[in-house]
Amino acid sequence: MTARPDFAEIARRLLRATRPAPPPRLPVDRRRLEAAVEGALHARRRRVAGKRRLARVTMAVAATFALGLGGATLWRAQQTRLAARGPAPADARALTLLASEDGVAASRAGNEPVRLRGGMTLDAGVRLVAPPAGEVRVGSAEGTLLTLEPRADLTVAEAGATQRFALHAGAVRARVARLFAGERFVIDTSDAQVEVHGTAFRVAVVAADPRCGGGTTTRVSVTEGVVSVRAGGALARVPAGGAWPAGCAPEIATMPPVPAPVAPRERAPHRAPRAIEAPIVPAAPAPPPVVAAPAPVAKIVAASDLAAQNDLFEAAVRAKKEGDAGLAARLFGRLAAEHPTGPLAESAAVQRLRLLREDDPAEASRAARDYLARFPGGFARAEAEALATPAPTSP
Amino acid sequence: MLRLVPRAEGDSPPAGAPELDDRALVAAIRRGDAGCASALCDRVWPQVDRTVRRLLGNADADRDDVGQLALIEIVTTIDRYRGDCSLDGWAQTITSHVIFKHIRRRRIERRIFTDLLASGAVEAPAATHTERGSTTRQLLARVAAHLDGMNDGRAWAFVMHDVLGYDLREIAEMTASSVAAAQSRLVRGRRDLHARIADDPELADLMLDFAKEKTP
Repeated sequence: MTARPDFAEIARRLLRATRPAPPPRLPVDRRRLEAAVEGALHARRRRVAGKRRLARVTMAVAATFALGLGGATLWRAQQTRLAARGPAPADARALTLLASEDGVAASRAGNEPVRLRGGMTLDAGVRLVAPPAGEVRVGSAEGTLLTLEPRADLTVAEAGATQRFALHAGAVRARVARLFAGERFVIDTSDAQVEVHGTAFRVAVVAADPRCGGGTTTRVSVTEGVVSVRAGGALARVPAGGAWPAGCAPEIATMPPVPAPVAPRERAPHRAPRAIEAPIVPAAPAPPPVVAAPAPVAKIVAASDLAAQNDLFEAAVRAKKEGDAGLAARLFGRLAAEHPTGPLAESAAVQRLRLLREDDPAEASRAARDYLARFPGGFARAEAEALATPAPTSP
Repeated sequence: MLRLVPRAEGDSPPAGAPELDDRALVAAIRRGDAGCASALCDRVWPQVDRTVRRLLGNADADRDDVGQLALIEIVTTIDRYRGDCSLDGWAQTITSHVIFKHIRRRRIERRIFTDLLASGAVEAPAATHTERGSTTRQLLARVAAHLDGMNDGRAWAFVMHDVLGYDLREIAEMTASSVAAAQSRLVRGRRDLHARIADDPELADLMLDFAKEKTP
């Protein structure tokens, strides 16, 4: 018996026997071969350089992007911290003299008054006295704006997280930027402490009136937001459109009293709030008909209160746009009553009677008659006459 | 008999030694240093040429072009050389890839194994006269024809391992496959070739005669 032949093995032996190992051989054209390899090396060099350039550009772009992203992230984190942490950096709160008329003077305790220049920073202890016929504006980078009306006398008591001022005489209007946790904005008068909660308001020191607010010399009117007034151990919150003390006649005679020495830090400490809190002052009552208060016109001190009129008018327009017709009517009425000779008085009166026409026809009729009495040739005469005439009643 | 002996300390390198060792040469290629073209040709051409003539045939008209392509491919792919094997091994692997790509491209117009095995064959040592030489060439041609008819991978595994003497690891690298796959192809290639020759009675008889002549 023979073994089965392995043809693959036989083929292997056949192929190996007839195929000798190839001898070494030089390239036929060595120069051509080297030139081809050199070309490949050149191409490789260019490719490597291109890759390096691309890598550098990519890294530069990535670095720029990373820096931008990091910066944006830091900025956002900073903003978030600011919003969460509250108090802004001291330099953002720093009070700066924005603009003043000639004559404004400032002094530190015991020093001679000096004339201030716009842009100067006002530290705690500085006392500002506005000239008789001009305003002084003080503001901060946060957006707070304090306007001293003519003859106003104000001391910067604290200029840090708590901004505290002592108003000795005259009036000051304030538009306070949003306050964060730990920040306060307080204006002290001789008998009251007015604290702000992000708002626009006006504080005035006037002659005492025994029939109003227990004889207080302070008057506060709020055009935006809420203001706390602490006086006589009670705390009152005055909303937009409201005034303090409640029930007083509009401020008319504002000859500044003799400035009483005020020691803000001693007199206006952060008193522990009493449990007694005055009831919320109702929004300013509808102003009485102008016919009932024509006299003040002659008594009004000729002072530049145009800004206050503008603020009041702006607040009324905003309330009207927001659909709060009652508040808008009250603010227009106040403007017409407090500034009867002002340039906005007629417009405010017309706006008020138009607002009242829908909600309170009887009051609208009275307002129309008042308008016709004060502005006989006014631009809304026909409209006022229609409202003043009582509508015929059906049988 | 020649023996390799360690060089004594202080001996200078022998004259004519390459100026660049393999590491420096590879670094120069990576940099794209055109000055190393000549050194590269000197260093790897023998291995490239040997591989080309083994896999493509001694008489193939494209061998110089394929060798040149292989050198260019070595430059292009040098980033993939990690130094795990010798530069010769790397050159052989890259050259074989170029060759197989070249073969695939011309597959339809040529008979690979006929050209590779039969055209450059020499007479077997026992073939001393014309008739036997003619018979040997016929045998080679018919075996090569069977290889051309087989699965490519199996035929190449048989030829590279059993005829050309590459081991399985080298075959795996040169054909871009695993060692297990190369071994499987080899086993199946042997079985397929045996079956094809067994199914060809005339060729089987001639192969048996050849085997008897070779058996002492």
